[in-house]
Amino acid sequence: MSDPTVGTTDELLVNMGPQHPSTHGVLRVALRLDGEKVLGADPDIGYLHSSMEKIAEALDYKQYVPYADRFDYLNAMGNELCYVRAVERLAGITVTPRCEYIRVILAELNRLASHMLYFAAIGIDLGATTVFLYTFRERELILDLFEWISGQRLLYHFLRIGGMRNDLPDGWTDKVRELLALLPERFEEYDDLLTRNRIFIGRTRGVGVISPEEALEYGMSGPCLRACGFPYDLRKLDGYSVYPELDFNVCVEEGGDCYARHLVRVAELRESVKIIGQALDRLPEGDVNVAVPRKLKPEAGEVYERVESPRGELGCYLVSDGSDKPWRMHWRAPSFYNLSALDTMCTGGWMADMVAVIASTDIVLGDVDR
Amino acid sequence: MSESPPPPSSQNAPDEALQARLQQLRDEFPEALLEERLSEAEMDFTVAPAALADFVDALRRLLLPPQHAFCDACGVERAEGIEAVYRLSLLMEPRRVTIRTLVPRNKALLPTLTHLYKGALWAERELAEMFGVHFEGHPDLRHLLLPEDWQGYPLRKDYEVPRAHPYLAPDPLREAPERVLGAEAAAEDANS
Repeated sequence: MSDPTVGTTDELLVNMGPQHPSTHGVLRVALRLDGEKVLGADPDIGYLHSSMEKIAEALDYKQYVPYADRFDYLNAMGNELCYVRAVERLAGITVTPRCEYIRVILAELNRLASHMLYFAAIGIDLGATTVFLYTFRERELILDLFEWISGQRLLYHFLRIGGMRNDLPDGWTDKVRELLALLPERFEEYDDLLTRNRIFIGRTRGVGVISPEEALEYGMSGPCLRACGFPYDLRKLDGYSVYPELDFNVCVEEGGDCYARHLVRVAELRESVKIIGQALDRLPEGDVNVAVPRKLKPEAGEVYERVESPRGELGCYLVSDGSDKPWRMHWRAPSFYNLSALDTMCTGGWMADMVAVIASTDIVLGDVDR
Repeated sequence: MSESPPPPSSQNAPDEALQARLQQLRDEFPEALLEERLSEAEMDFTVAPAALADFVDALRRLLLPPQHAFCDACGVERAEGIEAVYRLSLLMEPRRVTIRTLVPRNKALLPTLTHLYKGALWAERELAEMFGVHFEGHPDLRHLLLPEDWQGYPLRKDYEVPRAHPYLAPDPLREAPERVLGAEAAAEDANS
């Protein structure tokens, strides 16, 4: 007869999601657990799949901009930037310098807003609820700026092929400068609350480790890859738009754990503030729009245009057959590849660490599922 | 561990060492390497389907720096069949590395690249469910984005988009109005 004082354990299958406050969207992770130890994490995605790639084949190029907003909905300006740049390259359209600078300012403001939301999310997921409201206080200021310029807080439909919907309203740049002036002090507040918080460090240091080689194999990019020691930042490497004229650093950390990913984003907040300040100083006068044919029919061909989104390498692969509708549009979504490494990052860890790892990869399900 | 080749030069023209290694690659795949486009901006290879995995392995060995990332894999339907496009990212230079292969629609079979890049696990799953390409050797070809019982290959051009939503129950008012309105009211409705 077996000894009744010795327990046995069974492997347990627990669903994390799709309805879950900490999965950053509709994500289901099928966890295999031995007690509290994670034996395997299998992400089940597709809950937010809206066949945006198929829809692209039915719309003309100009109609697609609002759809581009909706992939990584926390980085709508960045998505639009990637899309309009791809179409402009395919169609041979060159935009004005003022347009390029404004696009960079908007993309970096979006990066700030996205990283602030990351701060808020990882804080609240791990129980530090105060940080959420502190970062959202400044994020509201950024969303107000976006609302002023485009009419929308989150999904803008602002950039257009060949330019943008309208030029900057009077006083907008002054308001941006006001914001930039108060941000460094606020970043110190966030760090006091979270980055230098002993509990936060305890919950994120050494957690969700991914080795540099595996990160490369999975196709990770953005802060997740830079936290493994690779200075891979498309703003520097490709030098697209007017980034080559601006002076900023690539933020790299070592370790490949949640805390390293966090530190990369902390540093990127400050770099974005620098970039916006410089772009404002150098903002040229002139038009923001160039003439674009009413029916845009790029020549047959293909292009793969990529930008550095807050999540990593966002790419738009556009194939044209010479008509006014794309033949094929494929989005290289950074969150898709970052999430695919979840099993490697979580296996062998504790169930409670799942939340920290998912939050630190900063995924957006709109990006993952498209 | 074998000695890793130095990364391709980012100077104006591919240098001699790079040319030598390219020639070595061409010699290893005399029939399978169908097309290549090389410039400062890109390295784009088209290979025969059966040789895909071997070619990418040789490419890694001969031409790519040891530290490079898997970027993306997607499908495009062309006139002659389904083209699978694989992209790799060189971390230190902006040059694009693309490997393409074309399979016929009715025999869409490709070797998997999952033993070389883990990023291919999900990318190939998506390609498989959207285009109906089967990846031999892939450990797990379940549907990724689509529900597990979805029929058809949505991103193919001949895919018929379902008219009715597949997971909704039929509308009783339309299908069986007499049960909803009552026999008399339904008859009135039908006549009016």
